Amino acid sequence: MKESDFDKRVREQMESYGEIPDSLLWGSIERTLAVNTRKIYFYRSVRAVSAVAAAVALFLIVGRDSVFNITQRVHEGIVTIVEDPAVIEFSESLPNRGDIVPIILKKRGVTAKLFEEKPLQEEQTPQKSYDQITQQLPTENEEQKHQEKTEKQITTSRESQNIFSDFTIEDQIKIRKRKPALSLSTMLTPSAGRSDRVMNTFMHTNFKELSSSLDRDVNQFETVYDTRYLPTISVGLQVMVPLNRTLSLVTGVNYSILYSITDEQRISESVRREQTLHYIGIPLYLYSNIYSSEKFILYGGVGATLEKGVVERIKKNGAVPLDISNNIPGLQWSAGATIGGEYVLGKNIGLYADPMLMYYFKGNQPKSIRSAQPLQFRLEIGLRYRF
Amino acid sequence: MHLLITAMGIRKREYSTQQEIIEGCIKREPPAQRKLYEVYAPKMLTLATRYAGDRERAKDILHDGFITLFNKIDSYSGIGSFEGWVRRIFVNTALMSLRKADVLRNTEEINNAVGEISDNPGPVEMMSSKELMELIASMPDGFRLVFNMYAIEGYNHQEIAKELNISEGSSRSQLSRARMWLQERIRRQNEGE
Repeated sequence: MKESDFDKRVREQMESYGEIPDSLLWGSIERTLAVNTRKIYFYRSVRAVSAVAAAVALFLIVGRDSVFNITQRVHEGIVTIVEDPAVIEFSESLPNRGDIVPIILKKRGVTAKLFEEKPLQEEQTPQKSYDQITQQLPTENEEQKHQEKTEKQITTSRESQNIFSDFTIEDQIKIRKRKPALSLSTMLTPSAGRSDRVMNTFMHTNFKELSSSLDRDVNQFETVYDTRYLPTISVGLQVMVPLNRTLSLVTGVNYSILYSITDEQRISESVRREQTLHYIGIPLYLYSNIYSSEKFILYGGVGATLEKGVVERIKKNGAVPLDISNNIPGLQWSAGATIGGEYVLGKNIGLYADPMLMYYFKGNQPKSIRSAQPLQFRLEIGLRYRF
Repeated sequence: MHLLITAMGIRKREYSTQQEIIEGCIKREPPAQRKLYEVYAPKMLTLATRYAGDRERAKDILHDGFITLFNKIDSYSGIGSFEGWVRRIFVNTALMSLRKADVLRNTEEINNAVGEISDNPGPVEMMSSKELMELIASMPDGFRLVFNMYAIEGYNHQEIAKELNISEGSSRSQLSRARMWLQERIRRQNEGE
C-alpha cells in the first residue's frame, strides 16, 4: 500500500466520523460566552460613561469659567453717573457680553452708562452682581447725603476709584495658594526606549530553562532576543491640598501601561512576544512653592509612588500562538523629584507641567523598562482646577 | 403585522444557511452560536481527541476552541472554506493546550517508540472509524501530532516544522515512523491479537 493511499483512507474514515459531545459542554460554553458578552458591554459602558464624564468635567471647568467671565466683563466697565441716581431700571433685559447698556434713572431722568473696558486681570476683580452694583449706588433714602456732594459727575474707573477690585494681585496669589486643587494629569516617560539584545542557548524551546555555555554543543537552538520598550503612558487624577502658604500635599490615583515587544530569532523561525503591564498607583508628594506671580507658579516637589500591578498580558505568535493574562504579585515602589511650573489660564484653572526624575526600586515585578532602566525621566502634563 | 415584526427585527431567524449562522454569530446571537456548535461540535470533538490523546483534554480543547471561534468569527474573511478555517482554530487550540501541558517538548524524543514493522499491514477499511480514531489517539505524542497534521489536516512538512518547532527532517522521520506504527497496530487488530 502506498503511503499516500494509506493517508487518504485514514483521512476519509476520520472525516466521515463525528462524536456527539457531552450535553453539559454547551452549557459551559454558553456561560463563558455570557460572561464575555457582559465584559464587552461593561467595557463599552465604561468607555461611554468616561466620555460623558469627561465632557461634563470639561463643561464644569471651562464652561463655568466662561460664565464667570461674562459677568465680570460687564461689571468691569466704567460707570458714568450723570446725575445722582434714584431708582434705576434697565431699559431692556439683562445685557449680553460686550453690550453698551443705557441705564435710565427714573426719578430725575439721570442716565448712567456702562462701558466695556478691556479687563486688566480676571483674578483682580471680585465677582459682583448687578444687585451689588445697585447697592453701591445711592438709593432714594440716601438722596440727601448725595446731594451734599459737590461732584455732579462721578467717574468710576480702576485708576481712580475702582469699586470692583478690592483685592490686590498679591492678595489673590495668597488666596490661590490656599485653595485646594484637583488635577487631571497625563504622564509620558519618553526615556523608555531601550534595545536589549541577548543571545542564549537552550536545551529546549522553553526559554525559561536556560542552559549553561557548556551545553552549547548539544543544543539545537540558538535564540537572539531583541526587546524594545515603548514609552510608558499614565493618566491620573490628583488632589493638591495646601498645608500652609508654602507647602502642599499631592496625592491621588494614576493608571499606567507599560508595553514591550520581544523578537525571538531562532534558527527555524521568528517569534514576536508582546507584553503589556497594567499598574494602578497612589502617589504621595510634597510640593513647595518657589515663585508665584500673576500668571505663573514655580514649585518643587519630592515624594514616592506605590503601584500595584493589575494584570500582565502576553501575546505571542509563532508556532503556537499564545494569549494569556497573569496576575502581578507584589508592589512597585518608586521615588521622584520635580521642579514644575503652572501657567494660570483662568480664574480657577491652570495648565501645569512637571518634569520629573524617577527611580524605580527593584521588587518582585515582571521584567519591564522599570527593571531594565530604573532611573527615568518623566514628564507630567495636566490641568489643575482650584475649587 | 408581518412587515412590522420584520421591521422591528424580532422575527425569529431560521439560520438555514451557513451565511446566516455566521452573521448571527458575529452579532453574538445565542441561537446562531448554538446552531454553529451543533454543526461542528461532533467533528471538532473527533479532531480534539485525535490531537489530545485523551477525552478530558479533548473536551477542554473543544470548549476553548469554540470560545475562540465565537470571539474571532468576525475576522473570518469569507475567502476559503469556513470549515477549514474552523479546523485551523481547533488545531491551534489543541497545539496551545498541548504546549501548556508540555507535551510538545517530547516530540523530538520518541524515535525509539516504534516496534516491529510489518510489510503487510491490514486494510484500514476493516476497522470502524471509532476504532481507528482510538488507535490514532493512542499514538505516542510526536507521532500523533505529525501524523494528524500531515495525513489528515494536510499540512506540509515545512508548516509542521514551524508549528511544532522541529526540523523538517524530524517531521518526515516521525511521519514515516507514525505510519508504520499505525499500520502495525491495524494489522494486529485485524488479526485479533
